[in-house]
Amino acid sequence: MATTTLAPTSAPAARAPGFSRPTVTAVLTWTVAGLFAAVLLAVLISVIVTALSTSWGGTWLPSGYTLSWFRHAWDTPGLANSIAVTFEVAIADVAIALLVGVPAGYVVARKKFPGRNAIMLFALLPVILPPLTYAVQLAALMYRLGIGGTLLSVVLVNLVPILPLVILITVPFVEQISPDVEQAAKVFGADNLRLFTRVLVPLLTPGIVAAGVLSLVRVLGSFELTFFVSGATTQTLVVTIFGALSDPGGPPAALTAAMTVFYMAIALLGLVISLRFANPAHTLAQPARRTL
Amino acid sequence: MAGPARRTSGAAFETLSLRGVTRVYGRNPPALYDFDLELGRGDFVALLGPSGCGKSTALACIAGLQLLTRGSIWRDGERIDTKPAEKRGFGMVFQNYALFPHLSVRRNVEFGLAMRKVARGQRQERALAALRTVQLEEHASKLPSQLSGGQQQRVAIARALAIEPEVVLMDEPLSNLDAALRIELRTEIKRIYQERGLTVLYVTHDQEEALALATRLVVLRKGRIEQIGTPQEVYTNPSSAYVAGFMGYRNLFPASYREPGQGREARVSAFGATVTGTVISDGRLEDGAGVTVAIRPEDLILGTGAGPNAIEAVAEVVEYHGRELSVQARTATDNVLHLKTTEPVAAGSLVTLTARPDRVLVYRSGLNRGELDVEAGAS
Repeated sequence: MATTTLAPTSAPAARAPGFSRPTVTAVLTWTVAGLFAAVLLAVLISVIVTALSTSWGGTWLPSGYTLSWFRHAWDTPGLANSIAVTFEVAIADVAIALLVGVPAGYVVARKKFPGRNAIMLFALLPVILPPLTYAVQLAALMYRLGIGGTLLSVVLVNLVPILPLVILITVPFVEQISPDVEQAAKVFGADNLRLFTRVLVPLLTPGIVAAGVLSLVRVLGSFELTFFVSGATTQTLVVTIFGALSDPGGPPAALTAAMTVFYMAIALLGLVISLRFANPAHTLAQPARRTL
Repeated sequence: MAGPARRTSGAAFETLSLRGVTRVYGRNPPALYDFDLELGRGDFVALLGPSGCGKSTALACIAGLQLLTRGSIWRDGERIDTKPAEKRGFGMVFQNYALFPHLSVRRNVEFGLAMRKVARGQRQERALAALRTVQLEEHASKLPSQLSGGQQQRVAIARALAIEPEVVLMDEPLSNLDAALRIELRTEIKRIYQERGLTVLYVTHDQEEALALATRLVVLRKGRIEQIGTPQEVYTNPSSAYVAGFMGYRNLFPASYREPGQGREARVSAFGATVTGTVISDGRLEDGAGVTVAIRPEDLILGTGAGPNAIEAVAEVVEYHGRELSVQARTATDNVLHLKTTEPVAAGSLVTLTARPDRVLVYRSGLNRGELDVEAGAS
């Protein structure tokens, strides 16, 4: 190029922070965002209030408050069992998905092999496809294998979307690690196992936590996959609640609301636990305290 | 309980030898071909060449990060090219530092010792001693990302020193640093080498770095050794036009051979005149044979017209470099000459240049056009 172009932008004068008048776009954005959050909160609160009320219909506030729905919900046949199943399935699925998916993601990120792109695309499919599109066939397969209705089958079908999810999340985190760092670890005496435990796992922790939390949320909310394959004793909480809701002569609304509050509590608990074990924001900001 | 990777003291080590080491990637021409090298205890050997000459491949083969296609590597009587990298016990310094970002400076330096299962107290002591050597003791508890590039590379050097390796491998350790820091750390490396009696294999594309540090220089070209010698030998008597170009002989001209002179002297036609030079290439040169003439900018002397090999040229560009002037001059035959002088020269003035016949080197042609332009950093 023969011509030299001057930089087209002259830096705009910095605005005094905090004192500028809000623009129309800002007002609009905040209003919409505020409304969205308000509606969401209101819905959540209404569920909790329903669970706490003796009866609530047509008035602003319920006629009376009680904690008995929670005891009723707990005593409902199958609820305690389905909470236990939910925990078992969630823990098993997240553990398996991380144990298999993180090393698999490492291989996909590091090794250039033929068909790599095809694998990545294939891994994307169960993540983006609505589970309903393959839930029935998957359940049929489980029954054909003779494990339909068992806890094992519930764990297996729920692995289908989250294992690829873990792989997809791991790949960019692995790509961030310089290959030279791995080479340095090897030259200084780390075999493959110690390369993994002393260098890769600590560096991948933010990715592992992200993958774990997202898989956990997905398993807890997974309705379709579990619905078609689970039996009476292997239902997860979400399936039990759906059963209660869709039964016309079923339990009163306050009872199902109380069940739903249990469900919310479990999801929150899962999130808090995963963030407690490893806070992604802190992992790279502090030197590891564990000894080498 | 000394495992194979725990041979840390240099006492047992005498030589590292590479025999016919060859590395081929796919269907490409070999990245390294039939590479022989002996590295004795206390040597500082620099592998020098432009990018793609095979120098980094050689280092990776020794470190165990690349497999050999052919050949073998021996440490004294023990064959090591069949061992994995983690069992070879070398220390290594990388171009981009390659520190462990999640570990503190001290833990980075301790890493090799921890892998060797050295007891905790001794490990800390040795790590701090290594950090003291690179003058970073007070930064021991920081993370690598809190340090500057130069400091990070010092940490990397300390990490290599801490395991007291028989050989330290350095892969362009100064290339990511800016000019002032590069010279400072270069001196630092030399000081540590001398104080600790290290054995170093050093890869670089920068001839100045190689000359300043090495006790022995290996110039590589397209995966093959072009010349091995002391820095003085390689600098004053490059064995080929390629090495000459790499050693700062900026004036490289095609010429044709005329007639032999006294001893190794010969007369060649260049710049439309007859120039007396010294033939370096072995073997007889035919009359009229194509040769390459190499002259260092420092060896072109600004004269008054008298003297050997007098050439007239017009000074085109004059750069002030402090102690000296760097001048680009053009001859009547349109050849561009580079010279350095302490005499005042005005741009546009007519100058006469002379060069001693023993500093005008004549090579059998064999330099491909542009071959020396690709390297970065070599001036």
